[in-house]
Amino acid sequence: MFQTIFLELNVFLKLLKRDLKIFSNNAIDNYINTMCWVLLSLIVYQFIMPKMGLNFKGDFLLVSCVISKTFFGIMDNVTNIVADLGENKTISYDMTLPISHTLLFIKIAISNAIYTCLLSLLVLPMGKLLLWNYLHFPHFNIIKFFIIIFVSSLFSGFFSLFIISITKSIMHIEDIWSGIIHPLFALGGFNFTWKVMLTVSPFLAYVNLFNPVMYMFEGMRGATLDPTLSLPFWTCITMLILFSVPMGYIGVYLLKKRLDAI
Amino acid sequence: MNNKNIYQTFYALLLKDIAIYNKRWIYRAIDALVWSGSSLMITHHIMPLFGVTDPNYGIFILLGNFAIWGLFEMLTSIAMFLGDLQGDKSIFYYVSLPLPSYMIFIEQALASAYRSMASSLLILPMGKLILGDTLVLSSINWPYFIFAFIMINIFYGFLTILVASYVKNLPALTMVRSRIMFPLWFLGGFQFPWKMLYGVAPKIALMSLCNPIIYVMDGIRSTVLPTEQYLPFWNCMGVLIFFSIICGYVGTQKLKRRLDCI
Repeated sequence: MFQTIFLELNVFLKLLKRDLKIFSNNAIDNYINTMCWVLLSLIVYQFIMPKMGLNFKGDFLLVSCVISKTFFGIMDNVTNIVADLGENKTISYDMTLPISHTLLFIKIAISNAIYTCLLSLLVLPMGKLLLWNYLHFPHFNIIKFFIIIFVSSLFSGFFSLFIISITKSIMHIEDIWSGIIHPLFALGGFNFTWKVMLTVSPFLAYVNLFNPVMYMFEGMRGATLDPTLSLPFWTCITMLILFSVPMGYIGVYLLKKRLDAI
Repeated sequence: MNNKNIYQTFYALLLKDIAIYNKRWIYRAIDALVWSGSSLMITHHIMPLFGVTDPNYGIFILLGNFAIWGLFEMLTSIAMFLGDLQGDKSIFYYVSLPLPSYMIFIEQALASAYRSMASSLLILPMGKLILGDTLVLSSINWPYFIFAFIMINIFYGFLTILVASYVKNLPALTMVRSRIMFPLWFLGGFQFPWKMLYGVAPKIALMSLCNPIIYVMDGIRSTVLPTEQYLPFWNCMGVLIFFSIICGYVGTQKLKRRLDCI
């Protein structure tokens, strides 16, 4: 029995290593894509939007950008995997390896989590380097920062599994962007906090408590900005872990059904 | 070739693409509503708490959503085009029809324009529901508005051809999103008028005149909001026609080479 477990773990780690190798091959492209997002958001929100009256600035937006990358980052791999499911089906080969199919799908989630974590880890330093004097983080807590990135990435990884399982083909990827990803992101608080939403519309704010992306944003603000602005940090962490479980479970279940996995 | 035959074939192809899209129209229209509705609600209800005092900011963003949707729909059209190239390759049948090959691509551009027009149609009525009395329909210069709407989407159609001619495969769509669509969108005045950008950063504003989305945004907004805050309407339309010709010409030439057309 232990031999089987070790064998499965070995295959699991080898597959993860393979995915990381692919990531490192495309790392420059990925970081350039990330830079485009960070740089443009910072320029617009630090220098232009204050003229429209907005009173939050680059530091608020930069931490939102970190989470944006953690959340959006999964879509790169989702697109690749959905394209693969529709055409080459290289996953069929992975499914013949001595690893349980559940573990294989969890590997996809973990791999996506690592990918998005590596991308988002650099967003804050890159932003700070770009606009050094304009950005100030007196409440920055590095341990909480790493914890929220790690947990958010993990959630995103399992969420990606769910998205892959419900996306019929590559032609429907835009439906996912517009119908699921963007609303969760926009209502999740890219440019506002949950407490502000509560003052405007308590009903919407309470409904938004079911939006996991909101906990990602709030947790990140709790770790980097004034903690009184956001929901308690550890509540966000707990909620993200709780949301990861059903996402992973449904994702694995639907993928198994779709691929006739055992 | 007989001109009548050419136009009949062209028209039949266009009708075929329209009929295919109409089956999917409702899904894309819902996507547009979800995306636009979520961003409009935040802008209209929450952004005033962050200092935005302009009472027309909701209308400003609604018009931005209405005009930018075609840019998102462009990705769907590119996905369809590339999906066909990598899969059924039905395009090779079309280029064998009694039609000059460049007209096939013009037809694809017009079909793409139809897709973005059709899917964004419901955004305005939904905006009226959210904004209520803030949006006065009688204040819209309807002939200009309709003309701008058609012209903008025709431009997106030709932009689709240009971008599709450069994108290698479906997974590369991620790159299109990060490096083409996002910079065009974010620096294209979606959140600010060009004249305001000129007041903040004249050099960036002058450079952004090379970004066609500036004309899309200012063109459509000048048909509803006070014209003195925006670039002149006919200048915007003229430049969009110019960009459409350039995109169409370059895109057609590149696609002809890619598909080995005569």
